[in-house]
Amino acid sequence: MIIQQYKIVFAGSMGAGKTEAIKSLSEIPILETEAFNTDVQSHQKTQTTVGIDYGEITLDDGIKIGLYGTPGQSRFDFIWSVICEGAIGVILLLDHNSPNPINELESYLETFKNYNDNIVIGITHIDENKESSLQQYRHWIKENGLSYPLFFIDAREQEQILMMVESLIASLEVKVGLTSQGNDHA
Amino acid sequence: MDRNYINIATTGLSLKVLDELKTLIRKLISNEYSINWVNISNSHIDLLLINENFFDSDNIQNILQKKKCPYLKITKTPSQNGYQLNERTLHLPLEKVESLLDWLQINLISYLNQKKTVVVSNLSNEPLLIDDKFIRNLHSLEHAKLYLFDDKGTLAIIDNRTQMAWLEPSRQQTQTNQSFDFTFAKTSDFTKVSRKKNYYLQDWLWNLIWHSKNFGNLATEDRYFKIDHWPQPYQKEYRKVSLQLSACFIQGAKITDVANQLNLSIDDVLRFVTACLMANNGKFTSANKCAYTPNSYLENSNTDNHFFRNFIGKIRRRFGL
Repeated sequence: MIIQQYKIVFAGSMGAGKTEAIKSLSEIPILETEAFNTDVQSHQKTQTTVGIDYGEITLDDGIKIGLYGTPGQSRFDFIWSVICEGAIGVILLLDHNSPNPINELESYLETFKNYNDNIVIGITHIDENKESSLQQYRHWIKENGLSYPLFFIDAREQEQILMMVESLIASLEVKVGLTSQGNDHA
Repeated sequence: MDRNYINIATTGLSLKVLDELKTLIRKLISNEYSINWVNISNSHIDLLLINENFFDSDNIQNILQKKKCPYLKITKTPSQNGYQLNERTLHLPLEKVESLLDWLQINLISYLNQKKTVVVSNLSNEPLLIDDKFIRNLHSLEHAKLYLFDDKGTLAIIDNRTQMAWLEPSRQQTQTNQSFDFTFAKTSDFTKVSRKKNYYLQDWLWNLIWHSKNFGNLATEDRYFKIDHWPQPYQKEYRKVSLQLSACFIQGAKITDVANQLNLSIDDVLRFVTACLMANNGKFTSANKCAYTPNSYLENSNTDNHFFRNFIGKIRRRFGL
C-alpha cells in the first residue's frame, strides 16, 4: 500500500459512495480492492471495498496527495488509524438509506475524531429516501454540540466532493489564521 | 414601484410539460412583468394554456367565450407542416423559441397593452418590516405549509415540518429583496411550483438571501453571532467566502473580527449573518460564548506559516477552489 505524506481520507458506511467520490477527484485510475460483501444486513451491495481504495492528485510542485477510501465494514477498522495519521482531513460519507444512519454517524464520528478532528460529513442517496427526514442529521449535530460541516450531496458529482474538500481547507485556514491579510476572494 | 404582472392559467397539462412551459415562458417574457401561474377559475386570466385534447370540451369552450383571452393549445403531436407553432397550437418539444417569442409579443403583450391592464401588484409598496417576529412566523411549525413570494411573483412553497421547499421552476437561481413575504399556502398555490425536486429548506433559504444583495441587513457589526450548522452553498462562485465565514461563525465570533480576518467588507459579513438569521440558523450571542479568536498561533512562526500558506494555496490551485 502506498502511504503518501499528504492524504485526504474518505470514510463511512458501505455503499455511501466513497469509491465514486475518490474517482471524481483522482488523476489516476483507482486502485480498488473489492470482494464479496459478508455483511448483507447492513447493505445489499454484493461487492464492497475490503482493502483500501487509492487515488491521487499531484500538486504543481510534484507533491502527491493520496486519496484513501477506508473499508466500509467495521471488521477492517484497524486500518483506519494508519490511514488517518497526518491526513489533511476526513470526508465522512453516510448513506441516507441505511436503516439507522444516526447511529452510524455517531459511531463513525466517535471513532474518527480520535484520529483526525478535521471532518466533513456528506449525506448521500437523499433522493432515494424522501420519507426520512434530512433535518435529523443537523439536529443531532447541534444537540451534541458538534461543529462539523454536514452537507447533502451526490458522491458522483465532482463539484459536491470539491465543496467538501474546500470545507476541510477552510477549517484549516481559519484554525491557523491563514485567512488574514491578502486573502484572495476572487 | 408599480409592476406589471401576467396571469397565466393552464389546464390538462402534465407536471413535466407544465414545468417546461413555465421555464420557457419566464425566459421569453421580459422581467418587467412578473408571472403568476393562476387557477383556471381565476377571474383575471391573461393567457390560457390548454392540452389540445381538451380544447373542444364544453367546459373549455365556455371559459374561452367568457374570458376572451389569448390561448394556446399544447400538444406533443408533431406538426404536419414542420412549423412548431401553428396559429394557436404549440407542438412540443420546442426546438426554436423564436416563433413562441413572436406569438407572445403579438398576442399577449400587445393584448395587455390594448386592455391597458397594467395591473398594480397586490403587494404593498411599503417596505416590509422583517424582524424577529417575522422570522419566527416564517419558521413556525404551526405554519406548516407557507407560500413565499416577492414583487416578482412566486418564490416557493415551504413545509416547516419536513423542512422542504418546492420552487417556482424559473426562480431556482434567484434573488429577492425587501418585498419578500409569505402567507399560508392554498391548494391552488401548488400549481405554481415544481414538486419534482425537493430542496432542503434551511439551505435553500440561506442561498436565496445570501445571493440577494438588495435584501438589507438584519444585523449590526458590533454584535457576536454563532451559527448552528454550516450552510451548504449551491454556487461555486461564493463557496470559498461562505465556507470560511462558516468556519469562523460556527465557533461563535464577533462580526467585525471576522470581516477583518477574512479581509471582507462588513456588508458581506452582515449579509452572511442576515442569510443565517432568515434561515433560522444561529443567533446573536455574548462574547463569552464565542470561541473564535482572530489571531493565529502560526503568526508567531513565519516558517510554518509560509509553508502552510503555500501548501494550502497549491491545493486550492490544483482543485480550482
